[in-house]
Amino acid sequence: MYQYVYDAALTDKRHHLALTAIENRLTDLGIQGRIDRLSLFKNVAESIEEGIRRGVTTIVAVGNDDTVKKVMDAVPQFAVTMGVIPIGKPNKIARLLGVPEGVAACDVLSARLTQTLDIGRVNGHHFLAALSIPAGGVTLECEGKYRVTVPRGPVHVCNMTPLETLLDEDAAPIHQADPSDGMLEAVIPARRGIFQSGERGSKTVLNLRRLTIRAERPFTYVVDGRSLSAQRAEVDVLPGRLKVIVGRNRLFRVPT
Amino acid sequence: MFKPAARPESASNDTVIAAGVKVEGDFTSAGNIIIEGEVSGTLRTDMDLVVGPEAKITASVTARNARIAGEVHGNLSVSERAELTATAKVSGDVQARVLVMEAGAILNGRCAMGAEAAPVLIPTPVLRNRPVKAES
Repeated sequence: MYQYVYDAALTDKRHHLALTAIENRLTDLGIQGRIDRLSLFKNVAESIEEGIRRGVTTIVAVGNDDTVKKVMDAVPQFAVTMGVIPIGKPNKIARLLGVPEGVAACDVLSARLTQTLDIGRVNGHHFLAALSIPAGGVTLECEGKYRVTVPRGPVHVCNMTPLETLLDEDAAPIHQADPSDGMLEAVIPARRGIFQSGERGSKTVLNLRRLTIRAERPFTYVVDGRSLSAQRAEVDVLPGRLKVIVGRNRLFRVPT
Repeated sequence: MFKPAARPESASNDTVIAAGVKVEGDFTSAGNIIIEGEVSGTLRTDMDLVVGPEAKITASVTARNARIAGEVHGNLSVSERAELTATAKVSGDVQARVLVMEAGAILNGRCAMGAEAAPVLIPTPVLRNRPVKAES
């Protein structure tokens, strides 16, 4: 049984036609289900828990990246499969998963090609692609054993690859991590001074399961496109905790 | 991993410490480690270690194979093959099954080679067919 979690913005009239077409297609495919509409005071986890009590096994986020993140923050604590129907922008997570926008997403749901992936967690928020600290200037305390001092410049903690560069054809890919190895990869890109020339040096790559990011002052970090701020960030990985429906055109590869 | 005159390429499971990055503490990895920055504390891997020419390590080092081109202050325990290139500067004791030194490499410390030289990574023997004591 399916549960569809609608973004609050979908009550807007401009989405009415698209939503009707999607609901009709879901009915045609025989995968219609319980509908939940997000609102300011609605707790997504409680809503999903209620659905599971009624026999729901698949939770589908209907909306943009913000909707997917709200659902993704709640889903890993339950043994359910997550799906996505992207409506509105930005929808980078859906593109990462290979799910097309609008009605075409219903066919991907129906095909039900699933993959079990690791999911990262930073200060209680889950992330699928990566966590980035654009300004750097932080200290990484890795596995509670060793400390890495990072000079100025960006730092990325990748479960897959940072969303910011993944879909930008002009941007050089920063790193591609395996989202099924039970590890995160902290990446510090190579830096080159203004007056230096020649080959760019190698980047720093640390394989780890747990780290604490500290700084003397609060720093901004970006979790799958969402900007947050903290002076200390606790990061860990939840191995194989997210079972998600993916499309054939997904932008990551899991080794077999 | 050890190709002569080749720059170490980072594979998916390799841990890389690039130039300009400083690591302090008990640095352990199950995969290969490539160091081009600074490490102080202890450094241990079950696989191979490559220390670049600009790298500076102040740590006791344990690895299966090691190729040292930079500076190491501390004891080096290698269960298989240790290579010191022409730019290597090692201040500490070296234990390795096989030790290869290029002309120009500097080694200040004691050196032990051969099968019995690297006891650190040799697993503790397990008595599988332990004789059962006859009950009287």
